[in-house]
Amino acid sequence: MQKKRRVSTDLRYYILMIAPTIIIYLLLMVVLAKTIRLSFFQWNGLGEETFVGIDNFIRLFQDSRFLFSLRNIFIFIIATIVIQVGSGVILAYLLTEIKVRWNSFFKSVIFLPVVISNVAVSLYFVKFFDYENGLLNYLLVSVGLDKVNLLGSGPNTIYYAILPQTWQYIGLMFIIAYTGFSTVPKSYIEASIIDGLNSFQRLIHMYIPISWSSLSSCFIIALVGPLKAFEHLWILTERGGADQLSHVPATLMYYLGFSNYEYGYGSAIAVLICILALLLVILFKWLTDNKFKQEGDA
Amino acid sequence: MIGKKIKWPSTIAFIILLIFASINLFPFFNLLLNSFRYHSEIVRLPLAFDRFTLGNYVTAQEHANLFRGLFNGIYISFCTIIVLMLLSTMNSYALTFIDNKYTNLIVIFLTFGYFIPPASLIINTFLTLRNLSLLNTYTGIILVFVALYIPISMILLMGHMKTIPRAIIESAKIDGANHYITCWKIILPLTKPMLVTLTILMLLWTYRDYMWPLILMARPEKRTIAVSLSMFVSDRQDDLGVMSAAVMVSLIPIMGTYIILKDKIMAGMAAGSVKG
Repeated sequence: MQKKRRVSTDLRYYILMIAPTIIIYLLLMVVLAKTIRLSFFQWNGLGEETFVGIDNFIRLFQDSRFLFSLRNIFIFIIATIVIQVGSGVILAYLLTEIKVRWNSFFKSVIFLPVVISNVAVSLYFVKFFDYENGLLNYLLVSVGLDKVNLLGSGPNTIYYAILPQTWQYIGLMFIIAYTGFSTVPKSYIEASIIDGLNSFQRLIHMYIPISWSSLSSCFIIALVGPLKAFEHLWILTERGGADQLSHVPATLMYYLGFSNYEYGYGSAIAVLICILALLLVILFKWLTDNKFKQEGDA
Repeated sequence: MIGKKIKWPSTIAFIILLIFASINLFPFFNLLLNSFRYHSEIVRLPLAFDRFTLGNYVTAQEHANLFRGLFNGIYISFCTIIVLMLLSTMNSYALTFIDNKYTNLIVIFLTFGYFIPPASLIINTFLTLRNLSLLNTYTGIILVFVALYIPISMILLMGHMKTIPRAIIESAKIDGANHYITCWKIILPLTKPMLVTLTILMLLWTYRDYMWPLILMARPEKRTIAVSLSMFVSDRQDDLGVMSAAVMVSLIPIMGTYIILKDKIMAGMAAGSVKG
């Protein structure tokens, strides 16, 4: 009798303590369920919802805007991995491996753009790339080159529009890599110096494998980050550019939902974004798990 | 000879870092200077500094009501943080320290939200809040933010709480403390470092957020600072001085926080990104 009461008290506390969280979290799940449902409908937000089956998805793969947004996200992911992860790792490596002056100053300056709001950065670069009064064109003209209109160059706009975000989050990759690198024991490094490894070999054979668990999250951020990206491209390309070819899926979805009131069609993109994000993470985990198990569990 | 061998790499590294640091700092100084200059002069000579004016700040405030935006942004962040901390501490406590056969299932269910890109939910969140008449209300956006960040705060807090020895809970129980008292009086102080990290993450993520306030708080008096700023692009407000002043105002709270707490912020962002 005594024992039974005890258990039920525990259970009562358990339910009371997790219930508020679950209830608010259900909002998210309801929204997700509605998104999946609405992706099979055509709806402009006011009239009747018409069930169209998978027509929305078929239409998407015939829509040049969507196909371009897939191309753009691919470019974006590649640029993020090469520029962002690349510079992050190199900077982290420079600051860990080589003792330079002003160490903590460099650390905080490299990280600085990460805390600045995306809108502020985008706004600065809109004006920086501006055709009429932009600083970039001023510099080009003053060294005797022609003016360029980078943010209005049709399908090529995306190459320049992704630069601000790529630059801004180098600091995040840097700090993750730096934290990872600083877990490498000093004794390993001393041993490798005695064994005659040069700095580059040390990066490849020691720093990267030992701190792989944190570096792998750099790659996951680089893979999934562009799918979440919205602010920079929305502002820099002025809602997808005049020809609507500079979208990434998230901005295209926003455009379809809130400028064209095609809620069902937009929801179909939302579902595809979720699937794509999940696939990329699973693919990455699968690839890296296999590779590192073969090398004997670093 | 040896001295030379050691010095070269560090000099090169120093130069690379210096170049990178100046790329990072340049926009900031550029904006700071421009915010005190007249538009016509910025256009004519972008990199000079001539006549000083404070008028840009006045115009920016009149054009976009920046102080209202600052207040809204900070208010929403603070409410989100307080609600989220209260809920998540209790929730993680219960999931970590009270035995229940469904705990694993609940943890998986709550973690699932972490893998949904928030951008994909935007249309239907808008429609749902419209049905609940929560558009343009603080309650609506705070609910959305709390719901969005429940998974990550649970992951981080449970990770931290698992390192606390269970013997502490047992002894509290023997001393007659119920679960509420144990949670608030014993576990809360012990999880303080992680709560600080979470607070910083939430402050950065919610204060700087643009997408959610843009659709959920569209009315001018409910705009957050991020949304007010973007008005300088869409309103064709072409005065570079005014725009720079507006950006500077939006940077003040975040830069202030960064200068005071920079090590904590860096560690927090690293931890927050790695755990996922």
